[in-house]
Amino acid sequence: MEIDISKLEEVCGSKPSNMEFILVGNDPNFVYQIDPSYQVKILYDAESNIINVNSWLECGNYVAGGWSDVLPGMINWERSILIIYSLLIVSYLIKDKLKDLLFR
Amino acid sequence: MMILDKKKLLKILMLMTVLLLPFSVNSTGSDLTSQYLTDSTVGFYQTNTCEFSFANFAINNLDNQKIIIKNDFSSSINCFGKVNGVDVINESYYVYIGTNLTINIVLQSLFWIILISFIPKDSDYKNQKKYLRLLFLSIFFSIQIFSENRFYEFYNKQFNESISLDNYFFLSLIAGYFLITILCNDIILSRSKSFINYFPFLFLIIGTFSSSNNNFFLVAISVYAVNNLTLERIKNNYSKLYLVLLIFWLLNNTKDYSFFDVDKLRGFVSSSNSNLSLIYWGILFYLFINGVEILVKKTTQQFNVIYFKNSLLISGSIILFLGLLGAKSTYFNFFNFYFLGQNKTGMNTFESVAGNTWRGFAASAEAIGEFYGVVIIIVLFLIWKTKKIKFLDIFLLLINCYGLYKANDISVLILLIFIFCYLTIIRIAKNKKINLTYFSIFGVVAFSILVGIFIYTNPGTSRDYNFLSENIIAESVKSSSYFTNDNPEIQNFLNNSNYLDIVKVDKKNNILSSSTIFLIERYNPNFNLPIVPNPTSSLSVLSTVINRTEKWAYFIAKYNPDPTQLLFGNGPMHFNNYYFGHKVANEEGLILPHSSLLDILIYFGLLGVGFVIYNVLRIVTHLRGNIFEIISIFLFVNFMKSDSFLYISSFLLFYIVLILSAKLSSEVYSNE
Repeated sequence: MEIDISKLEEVCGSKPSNMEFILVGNDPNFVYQIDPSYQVKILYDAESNIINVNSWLECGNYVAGGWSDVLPGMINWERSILIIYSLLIVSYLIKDKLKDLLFR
Repeated sequence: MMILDKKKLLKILMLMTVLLLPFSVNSTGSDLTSQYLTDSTVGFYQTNTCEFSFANFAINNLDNQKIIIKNDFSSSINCFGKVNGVDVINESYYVYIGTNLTINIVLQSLFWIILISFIPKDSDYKNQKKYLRLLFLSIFFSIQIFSENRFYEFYNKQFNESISLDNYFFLSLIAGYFLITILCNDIILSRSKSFINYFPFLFLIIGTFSSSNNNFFLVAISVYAVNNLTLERIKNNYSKLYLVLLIFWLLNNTKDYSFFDVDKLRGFVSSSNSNLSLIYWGILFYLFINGVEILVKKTTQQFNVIYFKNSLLISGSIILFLGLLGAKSTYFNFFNFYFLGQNKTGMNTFESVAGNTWRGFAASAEAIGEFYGVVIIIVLFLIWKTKKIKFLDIFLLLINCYGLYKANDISVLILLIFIFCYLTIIRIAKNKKINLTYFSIFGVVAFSILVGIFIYTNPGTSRDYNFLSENIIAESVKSSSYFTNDNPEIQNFLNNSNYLDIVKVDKKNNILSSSTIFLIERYNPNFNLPIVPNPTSSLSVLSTVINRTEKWAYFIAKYNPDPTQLLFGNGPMHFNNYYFGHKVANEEGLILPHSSLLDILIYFGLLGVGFVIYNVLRIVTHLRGNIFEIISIFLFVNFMKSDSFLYISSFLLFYIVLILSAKLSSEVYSNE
């Protein structure tokens, strides 16, 4: 598979000149080494999962796998929580009236 | 056998649900199974983030000694309570568990509110359903994300600063706070009369919300304040003066925006010097101070010293127990941090910091040492007073003594000895009808001789008076920007104690702080008053004796106020102007002044320092023998060399003890 490095650089920053980019794929035995000079980046997938990447190689691999630094669908989760909290508040405030109605 | 009623069982069930359920839900639709974490499975966890619940992971890795559980403060909501990343650092696996602000504030509050609900309700409580006020209070708390935007941006990746109806991050925060304030109003306020007896548990439940710069008890006390603040109080002279000060702080605030890393002060200090933040903390501090004062004054009648002692003993013992448990198990450490609202993770080792203290559960070894000191004073006082000793009390007291031993707070120990000598002398003098003046003179002379012997025999303390008397200014100059790199010229002046020449050189460079120059000039005054000791020398000797030279010298090197800041400070909970106002050689990490008086000087200037000293002197000069007066003085002396004023639990302890010392009857609470 051909990888467009410039697209990876848009998210991960400039690729270090001394680094050869390799696609790790889904190899569970591969461990990314931390690059102390690389500022930790946060990437998100389509389901809003979050990963902290600690090297350009790690970042590049995740971006190649579809991850991005833009949080998708953020509003939906926050909105869901807002609805849940609002329902809890309303049901708590009318709990006495509900009790009256139920046990009358 | 103790029979639990249905309500209590239900509460225990709810407590367990809040504690475990959010950390036990796996990602839906995933057929992966969690694995034992080794070098070979690190990649698996790095790829499959947000899949496995904390509980699922823990079941498979309970015996894995290489794991260190860390809080991922900025997780998305759907990754809450799940393994959100793994890193290999120094042979250890750092496992990040997702948490999220909007969930944290409600989940943590629920846990604490359910715990508080075990306290019996006040019999005469009438619920004030002032929900509109609570809604405004919730909006007020949520506005903090705008006033301290850099903090919240750092801790919350969902942070959204726009003011619009689409900003669900902000709206869900308001809803979360509204839910908490309603529950506080109905459940906590109905038990407010018991607060005075149970408040030592605040050392166990610190109440800082994770991913937030707010504290649950600030919220709860604010709810109490908005329900109980009268128009009369709002219009009184103290309130008017405070309003004038607030306006002054705003006008005098620097325009250079800065971000203060709150670190272990999280939840009780501002991270920003924006005007909005100044207004936010100004109002919150007003509500907090007034709320506590009204609460304590209204409930002094309900104060029960036996309950109070039990609260001290039990909370002190649990603190030590959980601290040791957290040091033993990283899982407990995580739960301690999250569900007890710690502002800094507890220590994960039994080893002491820099070989001298073990703060364990607490953010500060001094603060927890002072707490254990109060436990010991109260318990021994009651044994003395009632002449009754319970085995359980002695057992718990020994645990608390071990806590003090681990905190290694020598000043607390010395003061405890001094207090018990004082109480014994007073009692003997009263019984034998001996003139107290002779005893006082004898006490002061004996104490001075003891201090002298301590200084003379302590190998760490120099016996050279010249060195001792100028040590603090020499250290202060060394902390200044002159020594960012080697500076042979200034070093030469220092070697020859030629401080006035340093000041002359500095007139061109303007590097030294105004407080360093002030102390140098006092050290070399134009005229000497006979007998009166030199103020700089006295401060320098004192700081050496109590091992505070380095920290106070750093403060002096950094503290560079203009005259108005010196008089009135920078505003409550505002460190920024002090911290970023003047550059020094070493700017790394959070170096606090190590004296609560200096903290007060930064917040409220000389006006605040004068106010506190006046109140303490009023107690000292009108000493009635009330044990709470003695505890006030004990805490005040300790506060002089610690930053306990900056921790909400220590601050409350001092403030409440101060109010109690004035309110409680001397006959009941004296040692006679």
